[in-house]
Amino acid sequence: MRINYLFLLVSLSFFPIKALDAQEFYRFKSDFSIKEKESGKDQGRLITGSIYYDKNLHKTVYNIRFPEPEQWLVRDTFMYRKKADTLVSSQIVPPVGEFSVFNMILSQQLTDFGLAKSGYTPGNIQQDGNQVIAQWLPPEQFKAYVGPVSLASEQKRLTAAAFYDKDEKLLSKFYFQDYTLHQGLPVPGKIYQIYYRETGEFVRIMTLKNIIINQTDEDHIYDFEQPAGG
Amino acid sequence: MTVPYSKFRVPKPLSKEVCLNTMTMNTACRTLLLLLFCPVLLVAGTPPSSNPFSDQPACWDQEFQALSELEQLVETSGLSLSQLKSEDHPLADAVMPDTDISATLMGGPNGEGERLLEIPGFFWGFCCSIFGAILVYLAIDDPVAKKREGRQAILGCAVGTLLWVGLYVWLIVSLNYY
Repeated sequence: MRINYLFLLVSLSFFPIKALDAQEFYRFKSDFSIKEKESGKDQGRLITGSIYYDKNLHKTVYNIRFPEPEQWLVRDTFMYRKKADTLVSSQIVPPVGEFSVFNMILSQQLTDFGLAKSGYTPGNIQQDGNQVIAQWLPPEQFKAYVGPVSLASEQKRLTAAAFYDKDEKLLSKFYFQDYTLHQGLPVPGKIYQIYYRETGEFVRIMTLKNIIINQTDEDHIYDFEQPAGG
Repeated sequence: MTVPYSKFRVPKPLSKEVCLNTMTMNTACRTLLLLLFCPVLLVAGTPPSSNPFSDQPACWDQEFQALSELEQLVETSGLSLSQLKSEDHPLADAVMPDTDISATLMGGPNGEGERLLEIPGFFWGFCCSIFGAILVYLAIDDPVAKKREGRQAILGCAVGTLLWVGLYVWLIVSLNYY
């Protein structure tokens, strides 16, 4: 009987948290651009378009304008690629929506990069000028594979993150800049991602513009139908 | 104030028992998947500095001057890459000939076909169970890599399942004992 009480207690304690979480910020729309290139190389990659993400529906829509107009529809682990309203391909992808920066923004997990929910535990906290630098340690089971993460924040907003391997060598960094408030939700306008590879730095810059939170129209885009033949 | 990185460490690791009790399969999956989209396992690494956040990100903007000009052009004109190329526009040369944008957009399947997102198949199976093994089989195109990684994923799935069943049994026995 004891295990039943325990189960009931755990279930009841989780329910209201989930319910509240689902009611707050649930939709994200923005124009975006992604630029990336390896250091020292002349050519890179540019993608522009707009993104629609619905946290409750687990659906993400990328309306891409450049390099070529096309639409990517992602639902859970299925991705459909359409060109001129015609399905071009479909494939299985990792569940990117739940782990995207858009979900972190809506879930207000960007302050710790979602590390707390991933099992990381906070370590030392240091002040460096206006920055507060906190170290997060991976779960015991993953210490053989991954290292700590350092997060910098100013005025309770994440400004940077640094990832290390198990030998504490720097692997990648993120910088979050140009925050703006949308319905009280801080959203970074520019995200720099730097990956340190054997061949050199790989840099990706993402910009977000014309951000709309909890949009109530364009339901047909957020809640897209599965394409015929998909 | 500059603090050596080595001082950041907290010499108080969680005990194995505490971790096994508090970690759930969901947490394990979240940890792995978080890492997938911050591809820290893909790269080699450089030694840590005292303050890792001393860069001036605006410096990188200068390296992206051509792409930024292209971005502005695209924003105002609405032209696609093929249209720019057909016009022989000089900024079209700033873009790589490879137009596969899946990895950029969502960290999609690795085109080189070695491993799914460079994560060993074992961990896909271990953390995502049969779902991870199916993902490995479906996402890897190269037949040799598919076979190798698929086997590892199934092994990981079996080990993970045994571990969680063992933990469950231990939990039941412990609760009944006390």
